[in-house]
Amino acid sequence: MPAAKVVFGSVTAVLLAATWFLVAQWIPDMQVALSPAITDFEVLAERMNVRNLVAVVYLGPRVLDTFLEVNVVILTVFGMKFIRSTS
Amino acid sequence: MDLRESAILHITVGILFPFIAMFGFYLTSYGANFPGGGFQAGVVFGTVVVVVELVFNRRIFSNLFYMRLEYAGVVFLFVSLVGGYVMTGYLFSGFYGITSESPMFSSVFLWLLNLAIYCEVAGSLVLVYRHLIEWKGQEPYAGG
Repeated sequence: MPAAKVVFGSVTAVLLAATWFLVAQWIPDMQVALSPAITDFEVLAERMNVRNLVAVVYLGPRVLDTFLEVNVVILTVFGMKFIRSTS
Repeated sequence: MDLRESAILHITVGILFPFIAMFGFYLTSYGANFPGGGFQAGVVFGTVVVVVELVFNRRIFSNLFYMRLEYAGVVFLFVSLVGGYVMTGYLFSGFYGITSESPMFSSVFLWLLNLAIYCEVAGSLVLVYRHLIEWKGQEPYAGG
């Protein structure tokens, strides 16, 4: 195994271990801070009669993003068809 | 030995296929109230179809079926986008008020949106796989 690979692997391992140690030290003092916007989504969820807040955001205020994201998948299919037809 | 001849793969995939397909539909149906959603469910279904096609070396429905599935999802999304705008002046916004007591249809419109995304993603995933597997393009950088 080349020396550079060993050094890179060792540095990565040390960094990961240090990160783990810091997180372990930090977790006991950690407090969950919710954004004030969450309350708006809770109200929205009640109106929509939905419990999954992710779904509320994903299919609620950000539904246009979801629609465009889905269009990306369609464009992939058309891209594949185009490449096949031209090759 | 070719992995496609493996009895373990054949039996496991054959037994698991209907359960995974049903799990995909479950993710769609309860995505509004539990973890899940149309996109993930579509990926689950599309992936299991791809796995079955790889293992059994046969097609589950034609390309036309998946194309129609994909178009059905897109058309519904587009109609609800325009319909919501016409009804309320906001995209998609006209149908969120349709609710029920059932956990599956607690929000009927969200269920339909999830279903449309499910159809679209599942259809697209299978079609992309088939186009890739059947593509006999030129070698990249040939002669370069």
